[in-house]
Amino acid sequence: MEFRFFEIYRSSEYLLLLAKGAGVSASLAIGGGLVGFLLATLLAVSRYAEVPVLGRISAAYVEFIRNTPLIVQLFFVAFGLPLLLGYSWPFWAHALLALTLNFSAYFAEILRAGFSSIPSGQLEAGAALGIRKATIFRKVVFPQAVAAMYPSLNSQFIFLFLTTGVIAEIGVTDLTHAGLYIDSRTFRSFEVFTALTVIYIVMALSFKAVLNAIYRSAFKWRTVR
Amino acid sequence: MSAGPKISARNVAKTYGDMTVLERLNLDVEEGAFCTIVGASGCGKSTFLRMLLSQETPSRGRIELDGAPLPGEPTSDRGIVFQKYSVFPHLTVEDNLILAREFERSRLFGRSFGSSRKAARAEIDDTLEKIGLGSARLKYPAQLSGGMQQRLAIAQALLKRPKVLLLDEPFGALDPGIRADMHDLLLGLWEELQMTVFMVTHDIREAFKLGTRILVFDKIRHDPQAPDAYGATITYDLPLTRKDAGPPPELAGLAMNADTSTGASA
Repeated sequence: MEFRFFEIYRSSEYLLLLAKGAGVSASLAIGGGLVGFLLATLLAVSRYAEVPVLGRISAAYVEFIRNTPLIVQLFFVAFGLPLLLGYSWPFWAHALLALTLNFSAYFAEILRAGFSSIPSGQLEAGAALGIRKATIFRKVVFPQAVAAMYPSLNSQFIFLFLTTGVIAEIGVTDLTHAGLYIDSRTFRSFEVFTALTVIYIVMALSFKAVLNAIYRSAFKWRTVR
Repeated sequence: MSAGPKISARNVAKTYGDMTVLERLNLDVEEGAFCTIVGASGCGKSTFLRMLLSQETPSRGRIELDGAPLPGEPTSDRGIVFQKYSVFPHLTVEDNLILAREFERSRLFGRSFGSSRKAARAEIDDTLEKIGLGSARLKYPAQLSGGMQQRLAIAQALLKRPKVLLLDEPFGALDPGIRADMHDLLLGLWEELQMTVFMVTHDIREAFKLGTRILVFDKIRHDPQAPDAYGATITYDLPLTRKDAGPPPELAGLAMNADTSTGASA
């Protein structure tokens, strides 16, 4: 068997397709990650603070998302909900919404664990200084919890990034989509999916490096000695 | 300022469900006193401090501050230092103190601007100097020794300018040498700021060295059928002069016990 990497990727058309796909995958993962984190914070806070009704709803939501497949959620958002609510967005917007909802549930569960991991002595110390509860949460619990859970959030994000390949199924031209397209044109599956694998690895490792750099600068207090 | 006692407790009891921790507690403490509190683990010393701070409320009886019932929540007139977890690990020394000032900000201004911020900074500088942390203001607690961390905790408590300072085994985790330094620091602050101090300690020598008055908490009523029915109370309440070399004979046995007892106190 002969490999034809050069023949395939000589064509700038395919290279461009892969680059664009990588850009789409990265953008949607970052967008879903950021908005998902904000949503997760609201979910986790409402449970941690035991907000009546809202806390229950957020618990149910997290369970619902974590116990259904991403691809089903994706189809639901892309094809189910539009029929019910009568909206029609571009493919990428459906994907972004589905990813955001999916990410938020996983992040929320990690954050909630982080909030409960803060020693009660820290809360007491804040209360003893006469600081209001909301301020204690914002300035004492939240930053420490995010720092403590950062490695988990980090690896969860990478994992979720790698699952974004399914958005190709609803026609979003992401990296996986680009690979499938090139494969259908060339039938050189080995070369195509080798390239895809390498690109995904490089991207995942790059995300990791960036996230680690953010950790070191944002949470200096955990690394200084 | 009233002429009566700074703090008075009348027939105070604290129960958790069926368990009595403290009972029949009566006490009048003059302004400016340095009360050291000793006793075996789990006999309610810390509970008493937390009641003085308003983090707990007495189940029966009442505690008065300057002749008025204690406020329902911690206020700026009382500060506390715990053995650990008092400082915030994610903030620099300086930011720890700025956060400690949130108290005033949230109540008076909402936010501090311009001149008040400048004044806050000057006050923080002043406190850092006083407490010996001037050179560490940009460090994180993890970069400080245990003694320095407790200095920071004391500085936090002092920023509220409390008239009553509550200390819950503040030096329990420190080396003996550092402890002696902290004693000097604390006595200096006590004299300078004219505070009334309550200090729980397991170190009986420390109690005699620092206190102007020693309170011994002990459980003297026992019902073998119901071990939780009775709580501890103040069994000895002795004035001290600083010349006392050590515990008087009647407390010698207790001194041994207290000296060796370790672990969490209730």
